[in-house]
Amino acid sequence: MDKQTSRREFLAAGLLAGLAVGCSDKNPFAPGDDTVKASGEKVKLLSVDGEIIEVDKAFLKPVPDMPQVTNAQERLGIAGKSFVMVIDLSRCKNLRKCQSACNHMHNVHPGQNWIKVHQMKDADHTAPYWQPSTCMHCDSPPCVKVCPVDATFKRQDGIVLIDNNRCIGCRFCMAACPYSTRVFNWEEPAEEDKSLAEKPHDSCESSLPQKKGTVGKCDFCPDMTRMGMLPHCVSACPNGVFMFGDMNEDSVTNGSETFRFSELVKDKAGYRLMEDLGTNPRVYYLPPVSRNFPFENGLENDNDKNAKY
Amino acid sequence: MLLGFLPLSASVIAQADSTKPEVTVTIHHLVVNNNFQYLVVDAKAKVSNRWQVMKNLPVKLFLDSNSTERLISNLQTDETGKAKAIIPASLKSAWDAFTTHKFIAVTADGTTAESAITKAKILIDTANTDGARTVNVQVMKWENNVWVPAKDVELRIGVKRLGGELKIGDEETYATDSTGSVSAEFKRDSLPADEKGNLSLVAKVEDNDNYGSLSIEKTVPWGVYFKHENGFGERALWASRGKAPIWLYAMAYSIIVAVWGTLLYLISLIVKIKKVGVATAKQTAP
Amino acid sequence: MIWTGVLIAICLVGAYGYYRQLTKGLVVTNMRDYVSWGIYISNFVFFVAISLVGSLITAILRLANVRWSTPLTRIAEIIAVSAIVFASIIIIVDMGRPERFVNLFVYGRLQSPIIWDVVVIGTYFFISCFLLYFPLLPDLKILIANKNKQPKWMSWMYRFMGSFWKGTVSQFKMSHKAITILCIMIIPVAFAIHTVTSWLFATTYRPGWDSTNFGAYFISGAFLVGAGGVVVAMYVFRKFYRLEKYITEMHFEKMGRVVVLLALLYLYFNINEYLIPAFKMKKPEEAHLTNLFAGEFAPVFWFAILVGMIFPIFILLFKKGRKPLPMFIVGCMVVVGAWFKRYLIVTPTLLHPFLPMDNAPENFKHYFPSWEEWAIAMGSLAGALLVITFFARIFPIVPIHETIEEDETKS
Repeated sequence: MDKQTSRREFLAAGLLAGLAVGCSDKNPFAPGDDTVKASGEKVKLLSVDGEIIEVDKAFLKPVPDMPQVTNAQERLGIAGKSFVMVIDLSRCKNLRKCQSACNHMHNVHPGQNWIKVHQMKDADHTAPYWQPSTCMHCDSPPCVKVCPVDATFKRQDGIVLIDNNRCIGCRFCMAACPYSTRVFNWEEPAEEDKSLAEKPHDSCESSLPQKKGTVGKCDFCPDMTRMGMLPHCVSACPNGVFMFGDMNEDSVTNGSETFRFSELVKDKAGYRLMEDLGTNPRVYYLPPVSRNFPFENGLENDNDKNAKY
Repeated sequence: MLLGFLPLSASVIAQADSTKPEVTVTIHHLVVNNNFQYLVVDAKAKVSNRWQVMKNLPVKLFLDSNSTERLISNLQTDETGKAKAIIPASLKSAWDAFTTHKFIAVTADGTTAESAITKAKILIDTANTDGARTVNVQVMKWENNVWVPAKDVELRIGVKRLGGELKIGDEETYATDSTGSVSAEFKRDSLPADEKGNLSLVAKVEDNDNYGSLSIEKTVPWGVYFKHENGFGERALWASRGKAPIWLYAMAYSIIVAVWGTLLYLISLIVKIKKVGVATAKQTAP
Repeated sequence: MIWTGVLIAICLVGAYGYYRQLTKGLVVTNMRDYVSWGIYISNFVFFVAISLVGSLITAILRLANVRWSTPLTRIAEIIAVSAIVFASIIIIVDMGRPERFVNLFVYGRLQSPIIWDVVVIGTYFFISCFLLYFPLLPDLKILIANKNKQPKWMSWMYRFMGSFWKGTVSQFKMSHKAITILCIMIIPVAFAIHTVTSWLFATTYRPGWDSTNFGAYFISGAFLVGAGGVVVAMYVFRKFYRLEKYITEMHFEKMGRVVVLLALLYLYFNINEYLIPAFKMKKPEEAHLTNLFAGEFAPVFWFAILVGMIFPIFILLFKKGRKPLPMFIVGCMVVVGAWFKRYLIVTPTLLHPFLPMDNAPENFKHYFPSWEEWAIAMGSLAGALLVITFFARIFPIVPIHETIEEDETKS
């Protein structure tokens, strides 16, 4: 876990370093310095070689403040990106850390889960395995096709998002989704944990605050990827099951390991769920082969047992 | 002119009383591009055999000695149990005095942790001879007022991607030799890059016992530009309103116009009937 | 009076149920993430189905120059209008955010079958209203001239609606033209509303819904339940308004034949819809069909098939079965069977998603409507009946002028 977080530190530091010394070696794939909201206040710090550098105070926040993104920008998405996820089924042990992190960071109602970890056994003689499923962010999304009010929409970076200020709660999208990934806020959402205060609110990108009578689902954490960070499930999984990345960069990472996406899917015979339905999902699965641990129940977190309904 | 620091990462677990969980504090020292430096204090505790992060824990960070004039910063750990600090300009004279420095973290309940580092730097160079692309990385430490090679330092070399770095070859890590250098072959063919074909190479030393964390970047034109097409903005059944397929508009609007046009005609018939009725009433009225 | 009182009471209980739903949210229903559509939607389909009766009795039979159906046209039209109004109401009840109803018009997406449904239902409502209004004009003249005790407001309303109707030749010509145009137009629009409603299900991938048969299947079912509804209304109005002279046994005899024909047609579509997937037993369909034929839903399924289709066919094949009282019973059987059939179309499919139902509380895996849902659904049915009842109190339920005209041309 430390390696993952220190990588994040380097990314954030890259931002800071870039502004601090006017470094021209800007990585074209990382968010540029102008995406961070400058506070105007400057602070003096010491560089390694004893030089005094002046930096805007905004950069010292552990997670820098991002400028407000308008609804139109949220609907458009991040240009030049094409998000994709690879889930390695041979590593999943049903620990459900992904589930608890996702549920916590999006204030999902107790009892409901955006990430579902299914116990699968395709046929009598085939292997049992755990299959975490998120929203597939399909390229031909059946849910988007049927939404009457454009409350769920497809962005240019591939993400399918929900605007819970526009959703009328007709639940047609829930009927249309073959992966059963969507959940509905049947009542008032639970009170938000204080730790969510830093996340952008009234934003489609964080799906916060949750609203009664609207639908919700995995959103690939666009508020995180906008800052160059990984979605919460990816960071939370201790086994590195979730790998997230950009098809335009041809790379996916679980925080510690980074792979070339096209190679990974080819070498490990990756596949997509329900390919024949023609939804063109963006989540690839690596088959559960060469597992070095037995398939067992009981390792999961207890937190999803709070069935409030 | 570059002063390197010898970082020594060590954590000291303080004695805690039986009711409180044992808090472990770790200090990391990171240098980016041989210039920008900062410290990260990490606090966690073992609660019922599981590690848990310590949130909102006040920590004082000192340079070399536990006294007020050597205070780097008053910190408080965030939701992830971490706090970030930069060394203020006021400590410049103390900083310039030695090549090795000690960082001391003191928590509110008296837990202390120490970390000692030696100034170091990391250099990166690339070469492209007859199509064979190599990356040369060198780690140097500051010793007796000279830069000397740092041997057996483990480092990684990768291409910067979203959320991580993609290793350039087959090796996960490389170790510096007696000259403090590593020479690695860049094996990635046709890696997608920006319009100019530029990729960002990153060489980093992670949490070394003596030198802490060092990282350096270099842009090389070793990638290929691919024009990425997606279906966004085209007319489709899954597009937003206003971008429906033309055949759908044609079908729907022609039917709607035909039917509602006829209904409007029928309303006009009612009006006509009314006119006839009124005229007839006028005729028959005395 | 008791009848109206009971209906109003049911409506009020339904209104209270809806108030609870508005304040607490849809959690007061027993719909949850898997069964996300319940009896509100099956009620909606039921209402849309019944509203097709207007096009059948009024338009198709009229255009086919069938004369015996003339006295039944107004019953058919008021059932149609009332049903389509309550279809719209129950669909708003099902929305999680009813106050955002305007979004449908401000942000509507033409690609969505729901928007198609909104357009066709709105259109059908207007056409049905016109089909009520034009033939009503000559009757209004009779009503205005009626010297019998009539509340002042009713006289005023009649005059407001049609005092300009003088019965001149040109007026009749225009009126007949309008009615003919409406009859022609209502048929494709009626086909459209129920086909589009069936597409709310057929445009998804789910077993039981992923069928190319759905448009025709739904329409044939709609004609059947509409005809059944008209038979029930015929009997009730005939009895309580003493219309034996106008709604005669001959009418029941003819309607009986219509119902048997429609029931056979619907049975044909049901065989196609259930037998053929059962022959193949594809994995997602297997659990769903087994559940319907022999599992949790078997009692309701066989009830709907037998009581809704098979028994009515047998009863109506005999001349004795086409007498008024047996016809009324058969009509009730058809309507009740149809309501349960719509429930069987909506709920069982949702209990067989492609991925296993887990990661959710136990009560997500079952569905039986809560008292609020029953109250609201029954309230909507009661409301529709109330509208029909009030209409019959204000306007003649048998078109006076047309029936007289009909009689005169016959003799």
